[in-house]
Amino acid sequence: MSATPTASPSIWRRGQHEVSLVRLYALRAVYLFFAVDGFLVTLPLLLDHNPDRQLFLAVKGGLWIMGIVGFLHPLKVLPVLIFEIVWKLVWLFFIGLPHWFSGVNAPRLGEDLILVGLLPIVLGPILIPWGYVWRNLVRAPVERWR
Amino acid sequence: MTDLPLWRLNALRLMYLMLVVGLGATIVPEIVSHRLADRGVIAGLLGAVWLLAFLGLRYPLRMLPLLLFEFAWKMLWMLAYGLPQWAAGQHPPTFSDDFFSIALGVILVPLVLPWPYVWHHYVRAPAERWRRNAATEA
Repeated sequence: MSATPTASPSIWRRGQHEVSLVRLYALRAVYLFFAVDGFLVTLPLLLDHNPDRQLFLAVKGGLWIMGIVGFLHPLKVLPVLIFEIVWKLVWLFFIGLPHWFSGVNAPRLGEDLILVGLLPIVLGPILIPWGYVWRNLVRAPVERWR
Repeated sequence: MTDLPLWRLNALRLMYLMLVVGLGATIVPEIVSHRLADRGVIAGLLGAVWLLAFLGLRYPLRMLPLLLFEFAWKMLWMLAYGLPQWAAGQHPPTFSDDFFSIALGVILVPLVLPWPYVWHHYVRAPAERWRRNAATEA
């Protein structure tokens, strides 16, 4: 194993690491939210089998499990966090906002817009380590295929 | 980076390709031309899976969390709703479509997932650093 660096790096800088320590904790906070929210809110509802469709609850249950893994490995589980942001953007641009601008608003629309918009618009841009995403999920060579 | 056999990587790619093609044929048209008043949360979710599945073709291992997440939520749906509703004979009108597509995921995804790799990489591996002076992990 490599030796501990002599000068202690700032918690704000990534130094030789992929991302800064502050970034890791910010990501962990979000995963922790998924894990706790999943355990306290989603799990009881899942166990209370009811005869509706409930796809969304199952998806939130999936986030509960991935939130636990992400709390330990915030960078490895980043695709799930990106997924959270992407689906919300898809919803905002193709469904929520066109509906809003049409002026005929369903009762749940305002609430949906705020809940869905919070993560991608407010938190997403500052939370995601874009440099890391760029290096590892865009510029990195394709994983071998032949 | 990994000693997984090549066929495993390409089996994963096949899975991502199925998502790209399957969701592209069903969900994408639904998103583009939905009724204005649809709530559309599920369509949005599956639309995002479709988009990220393209990245999976390029990086099948790095995008594994996407497949793990797919498997997790589909398994939960089966256990919490699909099977109990099927056994009770009481279900919503969307049931047979949902049941089929979700069962497909519950059966196929675990077949292509490299479980020992998942275990080592996501469960046994040391957590990312917690402290400022933690030595760099491998």
